[in-house]
Amino acid sequence: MLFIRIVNYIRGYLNIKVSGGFTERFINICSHRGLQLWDICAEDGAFTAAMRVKDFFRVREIASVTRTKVRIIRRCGLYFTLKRYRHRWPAAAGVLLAVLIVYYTSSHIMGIDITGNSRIPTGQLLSELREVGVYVGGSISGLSADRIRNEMIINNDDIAWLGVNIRGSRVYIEITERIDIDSLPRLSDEPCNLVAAKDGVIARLEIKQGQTMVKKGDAVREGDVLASGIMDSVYGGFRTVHAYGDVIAQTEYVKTREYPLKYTEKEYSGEPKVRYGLNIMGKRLDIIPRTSDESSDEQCEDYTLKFSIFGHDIEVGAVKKTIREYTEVEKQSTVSETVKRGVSELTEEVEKEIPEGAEIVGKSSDHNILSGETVSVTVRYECHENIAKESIIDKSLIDKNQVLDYDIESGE
Amino acid sequence: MSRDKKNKPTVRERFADAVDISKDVMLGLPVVTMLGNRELTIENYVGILEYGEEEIRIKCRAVSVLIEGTGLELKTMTDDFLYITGRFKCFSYE
Repeated sequence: MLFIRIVNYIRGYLNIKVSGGFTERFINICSHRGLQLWDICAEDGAFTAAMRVKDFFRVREIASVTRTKVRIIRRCGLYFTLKRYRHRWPAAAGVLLAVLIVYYTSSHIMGIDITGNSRIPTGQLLSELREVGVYVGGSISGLSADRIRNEMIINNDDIAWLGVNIRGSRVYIEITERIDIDSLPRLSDEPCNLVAAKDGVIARLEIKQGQTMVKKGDAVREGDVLASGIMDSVYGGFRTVHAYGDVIAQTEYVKTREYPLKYTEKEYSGEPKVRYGLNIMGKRLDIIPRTSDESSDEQCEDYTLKFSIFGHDIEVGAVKKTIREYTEVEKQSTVSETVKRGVSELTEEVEKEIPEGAEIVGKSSDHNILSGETVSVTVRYECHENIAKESIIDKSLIDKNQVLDYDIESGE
Repeated sequence: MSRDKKNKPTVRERFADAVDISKDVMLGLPVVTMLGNRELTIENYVGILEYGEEEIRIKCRAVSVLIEGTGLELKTMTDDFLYITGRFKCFSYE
């Protein structure tokens, strides 16, 4: 029924009202003459019905025969709707434009996301993708992920693998680059072990060369061998290699300090005073000697002139001193204030000790009140860091007869 | 006795039975399909005798059909069949 309604709407139809005379006869004659009537609804001796526009011009004769009066109630259909809104063409143009925009944005590439490239510049990849038909504004239809992947890998030697995902109107390119041989560590032929640079618990091992001596979860002390440069050989005996790799261990950085609850603080009095003096041969002489007994912080700026007379270096100049006088005041702080100050100080110190590249996985602090006047504050940091350190193997300790010559570069 | 005679199959009916021809074609009987008390289609109709909101009388070749109900509406009408909707109360042959 819906399909018929759509067809009728497109073709256009009229809602008519037939009244007076012989309405049933009107229906019968229309039916016999092939004039289609539908949605016939009786209303107090009259009826309303829908009929096609072209049929309406044929009902005049039927109406006169049946002595009925036919009146158009409403004109329906696409033609009449368009005619009604013909002056509102900008709205129709807007709708058309919106449809075109939706069509364009859904059938063309609206964005390219490239991930996984570190050496190959994104700009270069975009220009290479453009050559194989992938560019912003390009058509999505006809794009083949296999073709793009194959052409890109052939065109660019630095690409080891390339994944192409087309989702909606965005293209996602995932790249795995070839390993740059130049970036690999230059290994010397000198055999060496990997030893622990500090105490820790092994969290992860990435030994690239050498015999692994520890496993995940092992606790190691500084100097313990993590990977040996002396490897067992299936041919008998041993061979020595330059062990290298990363050994990530959980390390701990702890700092403890006692803080008294009583402390002295400098209380500066007045504005800073400026005094000038002389600098003769590195010795500073005040022009006006100081009379105050108060302790002071002094900041000196030297303006010296150096020259030589008869081979003797002479150094004279002026000194500008900025003096800030203070008195030391004894203060008492609460436990929480002292702990806060201690944690702040120790945290700063510990963070300076943590090497670059270490990942902080946990930090904690605690305190202990000692003898009522002193607080012991402890700050503890847990990190994941590479503790592997190369340690040269003393060849003299290896039994020469059992070691096979092994050239790392040639792999012979 | 007369009642038995009235109910006796006609020659056309017997012929239709014998040659296995559909009786609606042979006898011009209306084919009525009802969907509950809401929708009804009638095939083999001749014309509409009476049309109202509560009563529709339809002329078929052999019989007349009377449909009574409320909100009756002639949804579709072609040369062959009628499609009527509404709430039917009574359907009878005359």
